[in-house]
Amino acid sequence: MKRYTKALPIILMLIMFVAGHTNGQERDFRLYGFFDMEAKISNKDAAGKNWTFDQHHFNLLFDFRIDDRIRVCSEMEWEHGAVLGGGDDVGEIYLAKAYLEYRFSERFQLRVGKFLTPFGIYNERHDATPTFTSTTLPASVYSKRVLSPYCHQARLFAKEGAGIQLIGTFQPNDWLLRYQTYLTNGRGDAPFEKDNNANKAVGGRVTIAPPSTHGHIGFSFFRERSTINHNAVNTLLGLEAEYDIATFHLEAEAIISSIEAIDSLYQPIGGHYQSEGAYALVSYTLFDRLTPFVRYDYYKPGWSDSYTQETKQTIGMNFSVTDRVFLKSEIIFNQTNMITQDHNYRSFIMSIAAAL
Amino acid sequence: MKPLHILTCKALLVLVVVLICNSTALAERCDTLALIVAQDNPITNISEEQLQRIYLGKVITFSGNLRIQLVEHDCCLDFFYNRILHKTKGQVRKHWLKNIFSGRDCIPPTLIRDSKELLEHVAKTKGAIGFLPLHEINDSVKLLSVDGAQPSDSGYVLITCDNDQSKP
Repeated sequence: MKRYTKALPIILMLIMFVAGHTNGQERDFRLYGFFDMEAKISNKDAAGKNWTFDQHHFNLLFDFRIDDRIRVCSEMEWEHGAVLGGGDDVGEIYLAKAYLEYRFSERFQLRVGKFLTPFGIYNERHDATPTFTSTTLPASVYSKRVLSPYCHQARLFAKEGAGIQLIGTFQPNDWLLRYQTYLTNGRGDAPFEKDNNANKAVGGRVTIAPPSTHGHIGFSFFRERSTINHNAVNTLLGLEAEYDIATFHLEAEAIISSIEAIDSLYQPIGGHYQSEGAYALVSYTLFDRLTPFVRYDYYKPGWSDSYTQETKQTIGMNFSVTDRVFLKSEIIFNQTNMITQDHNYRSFIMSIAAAL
Repeated sequence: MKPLHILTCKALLVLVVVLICNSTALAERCDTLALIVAQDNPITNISEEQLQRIYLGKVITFSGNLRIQLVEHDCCLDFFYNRILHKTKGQVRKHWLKNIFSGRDCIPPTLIRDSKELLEHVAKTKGAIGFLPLHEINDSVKLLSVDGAQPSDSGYVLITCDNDQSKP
């Protein structure tokens, strides 16, 4: 794996060479990317009291347009200053997405390959921090959780999947309706290569924008039976809304996750564990550059061996240095109602994010 | 120690100045803008709603599955974004970053700084759509009406924006 990091400069030079020769002529290849770096501190524990630098993401996104209707899109990620191989592995290098898309019409596009699951406002741009007001994703919807006593810690829904997806946009009576629906292997040992059970993960997202408005509401659905949760059926429903009034922005999401209860032998015992999460973010942009924001996160687990609910209040500022470079700082007040004691702590994060 | 009401008045004054500056920064002066497409593009009229969706990448084809290519000229970007998209330039740029990194099938607007070059590009590209000050348009391209109004009509949405107070 180490050869990947060594080869990075050469790959980049080749890409820039190809991009320079194709982008200006036929515009059939486009290269995008992003970079971010964080500095954070928290008073959670002794280790957390050190300032920590995190070179979090360096991603390259390739958009190959084979013709007017067919394109191939892929994204490579180097996370946490990845070094792999040699026994001292740190960070991650991985293919976030690689898919081919065919556009039959505006109403019907077919996507095949590996893609980020279309769920909620953020998941399809899961790591693209230059597009976030905050540095971090809302924990209530996008963090990893232990959904039931015998399950592993994992995201509420699969971050990505390999399979097929249908996408389309309709405009009935000036309303704008966009749908995405998909079928993937679901999570497991080698989820982008094989499915280790007979059940496919299915899901979809629908967003609706009424005429003459600057916002939308949306619904997401996800259902899988994966080995990561010992084949317990996991069903999620998500609700989202975004609205802009001038430079005032509001976004909110709510999610309900229901997972089949299993025993220590991983057999269904009847009943479900239902967890709930929600957040709301409000921001206002001044001078087209300075965006103060607040966000409130709430998560209630479906079972509780350690805590009964979690809330986070985030107050921060996003400064747009240019159209593509953003400086952010935020303080997060974490409150967790532990069964044995209250456990509250604060985190402070500063970051710089650039879109390439 | 200053009385509380004086401090409050000063704080309010600062707030008002900040809000006014934020508002005036969004207004600008420019000419009447004309929307243009190639002569062989079948479209002749476009709604403001449709224009908004096109320039935000929410709609990617004209009728007949013709792929849209967005072209921009930097002379009146702020005015166009404010009047049609009801957004600032920064908001529009960020919106396009969201489109791109979501993996959507989208091609961001191409900025062409030379108006003659922009005219030539639109004239020879069937799916292209762009905007320029009306006095810079020639017969090589087709003018679009917006919600049935021509640039010379009083109800035209992109009519001259001198003393324009439009804000997103």
